[in-house]
Parts: sequence; structure tokens; C-alpha cells
Amino acid sequence: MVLELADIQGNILRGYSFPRAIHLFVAFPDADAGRRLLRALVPQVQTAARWDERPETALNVALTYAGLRLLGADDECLPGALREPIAQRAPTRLGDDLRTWRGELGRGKAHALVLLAGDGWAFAQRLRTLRTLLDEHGVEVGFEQRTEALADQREHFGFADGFGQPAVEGTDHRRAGQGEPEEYGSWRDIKAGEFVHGYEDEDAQTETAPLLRNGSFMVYRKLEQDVERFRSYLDREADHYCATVGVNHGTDPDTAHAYARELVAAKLIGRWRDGVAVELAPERDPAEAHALRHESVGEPDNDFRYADDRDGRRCPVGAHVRRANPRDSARATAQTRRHRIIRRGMPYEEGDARGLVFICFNASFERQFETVQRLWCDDGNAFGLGRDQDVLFASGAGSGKLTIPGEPPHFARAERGLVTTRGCEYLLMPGLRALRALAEGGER
Amino acid sequence: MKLLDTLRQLTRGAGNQRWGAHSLLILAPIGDGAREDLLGELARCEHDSPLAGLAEVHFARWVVIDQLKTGFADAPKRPSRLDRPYLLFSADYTPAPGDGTLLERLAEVGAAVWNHCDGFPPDGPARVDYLAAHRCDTTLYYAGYPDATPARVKTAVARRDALTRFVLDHRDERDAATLQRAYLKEAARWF
Ligand code: HEM
Repeated sequence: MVLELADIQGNILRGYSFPRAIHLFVAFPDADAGRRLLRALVPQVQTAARWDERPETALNVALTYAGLRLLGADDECLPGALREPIAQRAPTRLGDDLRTWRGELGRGKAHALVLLAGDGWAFAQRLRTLRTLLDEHGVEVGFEQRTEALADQREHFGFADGFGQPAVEGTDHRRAGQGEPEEYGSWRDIKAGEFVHGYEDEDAQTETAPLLRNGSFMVYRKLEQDVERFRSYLDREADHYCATVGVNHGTDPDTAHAYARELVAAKLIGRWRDGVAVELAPERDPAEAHALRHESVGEPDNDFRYADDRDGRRCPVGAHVRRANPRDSARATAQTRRHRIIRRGMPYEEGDARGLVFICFNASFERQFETVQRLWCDDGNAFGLGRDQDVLFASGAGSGKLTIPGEPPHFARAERGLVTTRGCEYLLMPGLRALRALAEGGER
Repeated sequence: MKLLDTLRQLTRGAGNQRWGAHSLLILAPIGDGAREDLLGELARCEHDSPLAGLAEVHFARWVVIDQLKTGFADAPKRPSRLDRPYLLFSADYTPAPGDGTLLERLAEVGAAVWNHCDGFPPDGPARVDYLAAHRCDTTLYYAGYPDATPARVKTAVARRDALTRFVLDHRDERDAATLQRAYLKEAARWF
């Protein structure tokens, strides 16, 4: 199976790892202006084709349903999830409270999203050129978002992030532990059709429409993180942990507390802050606790499974990464391979507000992203955890507790408001041919 | 009707019951031009489901089937096409003691939905006959709790929530005897 890399947009199958990006949600004044702009942008779009020398900046384009309609796309092939206005869908399907949304993001006005990534002078220069181009076409920027990578691949809660990704068939940058677990410790790549339309997926389906071929559905969520609240939450849980479970290393109280903090954080997320998987290292040296927050291990080991850890004594069953990718855990998740997502999020900072622009790519919003968010993160039933929720997404619908199994177990309180959704958009990031067809379409 | 006959033939002999778990599947053709209205009615049901009051039902749903899926691996060489959209209803349930059958209750509470189906009688017991006539064997279905009634499941969930609250409220209690007394007092309310 050969992927048509030159027809697939960049950053889907392989992350750019640029330190900076800007996301411009734009509205076309009318269809013709939209097409003219697309014609100008298409030759600039960064594809997934291998580069000899890394470009200094990269530009990509995605379209909302409103944009696709305006451009006269044949929309028969588009799923309900994309058609439905996101402000209507998010409350029922994603549990969002629209009162927490801010600005124009997700308000139905945007037709397209132009993404520019890069750094330094080249980035600033290209952004200026891009803005001029938008102006010339009478295209208005309704919402814009800047993102900036933190040192050591961290997100704002202090965890190294971004390396837990599916290994995709036909790409050459996969690592053990990222695909589908098979016998004798081996891993099989996930079929490309789970992420890019027009290739075989895990259900052996390849059928697609020209509009979707080599395209991918994109989830865009602005998630604000309350860093202060997370910090004090961990402090309280560490107090409790020290008093009940205890840190039995003959360590002095300060070190014990610092370690308990790191341990609780790691058990709830499923990775230590430096990225090491809790499943592989359920304990660390308490003296290391402080260092975990600053040291980087580059590419942490991903080669682990959960089947031998049914009760979650090593990595709790309800830990964020174990929910989001249960690998070979039993129960309702036997079909993990049909619910994988490629994450391309990046941190942002706006004054006091910090957070993650969560971006993910999948072939089906419902089966992949929404299933992971709703059934696996926002509820525990699929894992035999009742109403326990992911530590990051605690809400009124949850049990209010999280369990760290052990002797004795630690029952953590769930803290609401750690992560708040500020807006959401569903888009299609089309293949190059489809983008060109849209740019030419209906032209007289 | 040909589709229903074929289905019946294919599934003849297969049961709609495994242990205490019963299954109900009804497949009815949607009336000409009624599809959009039906979707509107179903959207209303999402907020205020007429099925919510059926004590014996664990899980139930209506699904509009526009067309059969074709083009998948091992699909039949000559794919069947539906000549019209169908409304599928499926439920798993534990029969409740007392008067009437589930079909009777469904014909009443679900009338606003099945009204959009071809030939659904305007009123009367004929509606129950209609649903019975459009029933198919299920053959393969899933029941989370084959031996428990929905009421028992709900009670169990409520107790689990109460236990969770108890655990959180008492997680700082270090004295075993005090904790035990509190637990016995709390648990006495559950049984
Ligand atoms: C502010 C919100 C979030 C934070 C702070 C966060 C944090 C993390 C961290 C620290 C990791 C481990 C690093 C890695 O595997 O790359 C991770 C992994 C992951 N997260 Fe999140 N996450 C957030 C939101 C989400 C959301 C909304 C989803 C999807 C619904 C999600 C799905 C995943 C998945 C699939 C993995 C990889 C698991 C694996 O393959 O083992 N995350 N996240």
C-alpha cells in the first residue's frame, strides 16, 4: 500500500514540530472570492511529501461545512457530525457548556482555517504576506489563535506530551507500542484509512468520494487549563496520600510530599511528567521527584501493554492515557484499533490564560474522537469504573472520585474546572486534488 | 414485505430470548415522503423520550435505515438495494409482571413515531398487530445484565453512588472502629 503523500496535507501523518503556529479562521465574502483565495493558497500548501531540507514555514488549509457548502462542494459524502452546527452538537455530544466558549470560534461564521507554522523572521514575514493576501481577497479573519511550544515538549500542566501517536501503515516513522498489539510482543501498524480517506481502514473499507480522498477530518478544540488549580489540587491529594498510603522510603517529609505529588500526578495521567510510562515504571526514586518536572527523556518508551495489569496496580485503569488508548485492555475496548486519533495539539498562552489547542485527525468524528472523549474520558462504564471520569475532564455527571489501586487504594477527589473548553470546530483538511477541484469548481 | 420474509426465513428458529434477556426487533417501511418528518420526530425524542417510561426496557432505539451498506470487503457480488427507507426499532428488555405486553405499550407510546410508517393503523388494537407483523427474530444481541430487571440495575447504581460518596466523605478517617460504625450506619440505609 502506497500513500499518495504529495496529495495529503502535511502535519497529519507526521508532526511538523515547529515551535510556533497561528490559526486563522476566515470567512469568504462570497463563493468566487473563496475560490480565488484557494487558488492562490493551493500552490503554497505544505504536503506530506518527504522534504530534503526542512522548510522554514508551512501552510495548510482546512474547511468547515459552511465553507464546503459555499464553494459548492458535493456534500453528499459528508457525515452528519460535520454538517451539524458545532455549537448545537457540542453540548449533546461533547458535554460542552456553551457559556464557557469565548469569541467567534465555533459560532458558525468561519468557512476555512488557514494554519501557518514556523519560527522567527521567516514566520513573521510569511504571516504578513498571508494577511495581505487575505485582505486582497476581501477575506475576513473572524478568529485567530496563536500557539507556542513549551520547552521539552511540555504542556501547561508540566507533562511531556505528543509522542503517544498511532503508527500508521505506509509511513516510516513508527515505533514499537504505537500500533495494534499483536502476539509475541509485536505491534502491527494501524491501517491508513483510519486517518486518511481513500485507503483501507481497520474494517477493510476503502470506499470514498473524490472530495474526501486523501483528506482527513480535523477536530479543533481550545482547552483552557487552570494551572494554579491543578497545582493546589495535587498538593491536597499529596497530603492525603502521605497520610493514608504513605511514601515508605524513610524519606524526610518534604521529599515524601514532593514525591507523592509527582506520584499522584503520574498515576492520574498515566505518564510521569518527563514522559516515562507509569505502566513501565510504577515507582521512581523519591529523590528524583523535582527533576522529573524539568528533565526531558526525548522519545519515551511506548512499548507497553495493559493486559497483565488488569486491576491497574501499575497504571490505574482510569488514567488519562490508559483511557484515551486502552491498547490491549479487555472489556468494551477490544476494538481499540477503531478508535485511535492522531494528535497535533499545541500549547497557547494569552495573558494569564494558558491552555492547549487540541487538534486531532481521524476518519470519523463519531467513531474516533467523540468515542474517546465521551465514552472513554467522560465516563468510566466502558472500563468497569462506573461514573469515574478522566482527571482532566471531571464534570457534574461524574462520580467525583478517582481510584489509584493499591494497598490501601487512594481515593482521589475529582476536581472540576481543571480544563475548560473555550470553543470547538470540526473541519475537513482536504487532499490537494480535492482542494484544487474546490478552487476551480463552479468557475465560469 | 419481501425483505421481512427473507429475514424471517434466514433467522427461523433463532430465539429472541437468552436467559432472562429478551430482545425485540421491528422493521417497518417508512411512508412515502415521510422520512424528514420522522427524523424531526426522532430528534424530539432525543430530549423527551417516549420510551423512558417503559419499566421493562433496558435499552431501546429507533434507527432510520436509508440504504444497505455495499462495497465492503466480502460484500455480496450482487448487492441488495432497499426500494425505500426503513425504520428499525430494537430493544432489550426484561418482561415486567402485570398487565399487557411490551408490544401493547409500545403501540401506544411510540405511535407518534410509527405513524410515519407505511400502513401503521390510525388507532386501535390493529396497531399492536402491525408491530407484531413487522417483528423479526433478532438472532444476535447483547444484554449487559441478562438476569436483572432495569429497576434492579438502577438500585444497584444508586447504591454504588452512595458508596462512592461514603468513601470520599470518610477518606480522612484514620480510626478503624469509627469508620466501621459510620459504614454500618450508612449501609443500613441501603438494604
Ligand atoms: C488540556 C487537555 C489535555 C491534556 C493536558 C492532555 C495531556 C496528555 C498527556 C500528558 C499525555 C501523555 C503524552 C503522550 O502520550 O503523548 C496524553 C496522551 C494522550 N491524550 Fe491527552 N491531554 C489532553 C486532552 C486530550 C483530549 C481532549 C483527548 C481526546 C479526547 C486526549 C487524548 C489523548 C491520547 C489518545 C493520548 C495518547 C495515549 C497513548 O497513545 O498511549 N487528550 N495527553
